[in-house]
Amino acid sequence: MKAPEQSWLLKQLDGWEAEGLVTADSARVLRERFRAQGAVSMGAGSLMMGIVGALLVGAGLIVLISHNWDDFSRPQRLACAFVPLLLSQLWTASLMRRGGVEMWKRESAGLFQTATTGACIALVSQTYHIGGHWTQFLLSWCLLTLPLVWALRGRFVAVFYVLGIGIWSIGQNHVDEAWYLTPWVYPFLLLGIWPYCPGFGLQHLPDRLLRRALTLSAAAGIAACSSQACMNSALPSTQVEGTTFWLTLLGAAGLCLFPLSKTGLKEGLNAKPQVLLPAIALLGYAFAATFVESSEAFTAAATSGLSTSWGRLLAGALAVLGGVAVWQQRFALLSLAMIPLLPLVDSVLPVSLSILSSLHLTAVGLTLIVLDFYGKPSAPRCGAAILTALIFARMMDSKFSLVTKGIVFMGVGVAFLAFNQFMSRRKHSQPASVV
Amino acid sequence: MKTALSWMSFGVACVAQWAVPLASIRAREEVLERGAVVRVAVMAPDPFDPLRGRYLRVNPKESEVVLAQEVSHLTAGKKVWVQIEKGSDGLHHLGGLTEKRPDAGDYLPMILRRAWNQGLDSGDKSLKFRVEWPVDRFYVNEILAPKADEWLRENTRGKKTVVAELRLLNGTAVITDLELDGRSFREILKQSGH
Repeated sequence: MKAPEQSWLLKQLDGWEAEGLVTADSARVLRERFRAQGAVSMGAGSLMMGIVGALLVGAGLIVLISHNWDDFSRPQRLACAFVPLLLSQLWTASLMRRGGVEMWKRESAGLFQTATTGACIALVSQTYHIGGHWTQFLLSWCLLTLPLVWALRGRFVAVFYVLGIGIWSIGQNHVDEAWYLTPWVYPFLLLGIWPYCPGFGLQHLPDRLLRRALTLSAAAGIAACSSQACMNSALPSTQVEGTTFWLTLLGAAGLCLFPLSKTGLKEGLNAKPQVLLPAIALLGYAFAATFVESSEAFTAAATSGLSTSWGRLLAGALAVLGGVAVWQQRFALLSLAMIPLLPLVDSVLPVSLSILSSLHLTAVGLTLIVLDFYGKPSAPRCGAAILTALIFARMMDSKFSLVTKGIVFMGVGVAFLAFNQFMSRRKHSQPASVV
Repeated sequence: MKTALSWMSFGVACVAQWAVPLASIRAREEVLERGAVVRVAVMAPDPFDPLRGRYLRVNPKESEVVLAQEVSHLTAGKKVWVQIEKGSDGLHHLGGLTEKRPDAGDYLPMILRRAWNQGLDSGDKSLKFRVEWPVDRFYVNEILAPKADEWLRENTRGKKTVVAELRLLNGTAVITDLELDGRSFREILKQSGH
């Protein structure tokens, strides 16, 4: 809900409560929810200005340092490293001592301190010519800012940390490293934000921004672990790329089945990047598979992926999450999450992967539509779009005449528009559920 | 309770943000003050670090080792200790390699890597490895960096050897200068009007 609507709703609540339209408990829950969201959106302008300001000052500091002031003595350069850090810490401390300060100040202070920390360790390593891969620097920076996430409860610092460890895991793909210097540490690093989100009592669910950051970071972590698993396995180097991709896809399938609370289940697809991003990747893969003449490479990647311990772990996790999804009646998502398993099914059935993928996509499309009529979580328009795209794809590679193709395209277009109109009318008559 | 935890976390953050760079500074200042001078032949191209600025990548020319029998079980990725010994040419070279930290002498921790010609799929157990030196860069001023790069390229094409001067103490090394024919590259650049 947008800020003006939230504001209007909050104003109406007292009247509705007095008239008995809503109970006192319901009014309290609504007030808490929309006041929290309203606080974010109403201060959005100040917040963005504060964030941009802190980022610019921090970036300016780092760029100044990059110039390398080698005319300065070592103590002078070190003073340049520590004075901004000290100032940022004092600013943050003063805000914490005052308490109840505006959100933009808290977020700006957190980001400013994050920037000065990075600038400080950058200047020290520049002064003493300390070597090492950029990922080591990034990890040190992230870890030094992690306690700030807990202290300030600042979501932008949390986003920095979460994205930072994701980028680190991608950059830290080395064959010959000890396990604690490889992406296998990523899950433990991710646990670092647990005290902030979701909190020990699971009371702080991530907002949309943090959800997006978490999704991107988790996707990077899964891809990095998949790559690491393949590099450390005995797979021939020609199979490493394909297997890494399949394992990442398997992880993405697990990600989109991540269990949600009852409130989370009712939210729209835009509020669930952990569903949206993997769903796009999974559908892309399935559509690509419908064009495949020989499924050998797909099947080889899937079977060799499953032969690795990481692949078996992901498959196990997918099975468990699939069980939870069945319990939560998220059948539409379940049908999507099964896509990476198609090459494995193809290896035991006498059907080509192209036909299997086409059939599965048809089933996914129909499932997304039909579930809506049973009041289950679904996405009918997405289902219709999948079916339409599938018909287009099959028409494109068919040997029908252009006249036939044209008529089919028009027919599908009209059917799509009619379906859209039908769904709009249906939505007005009853609230539609979502994935 | 919540406020106390917040302050505690903030305290941890502040202490760590000071302690990590200060520990690094202390270790390196000690090396610069008390460390032995070591001179290693290097190649030095000029890349860029977006956060820390321009630097000359210091690639010691000597980077391949053949494992002795007693350490032949070592594999790529392992950390080893390599003795740094002075040669008759006045430069320092790689010496013996051990798994445990030596008790005396000049030594550096290095990481064993597969030799360049040893593929991932080969599977053969070769005793030839590369070593990854703990010093790999020399930060320079952004104005000086391109000139230094050009000068280095001109001078490392022939038989001349660019030497990195390091200070070395208890396995920690700090680069102090790059030189050619015993003269600092800054001094040479200044005199040659670069």
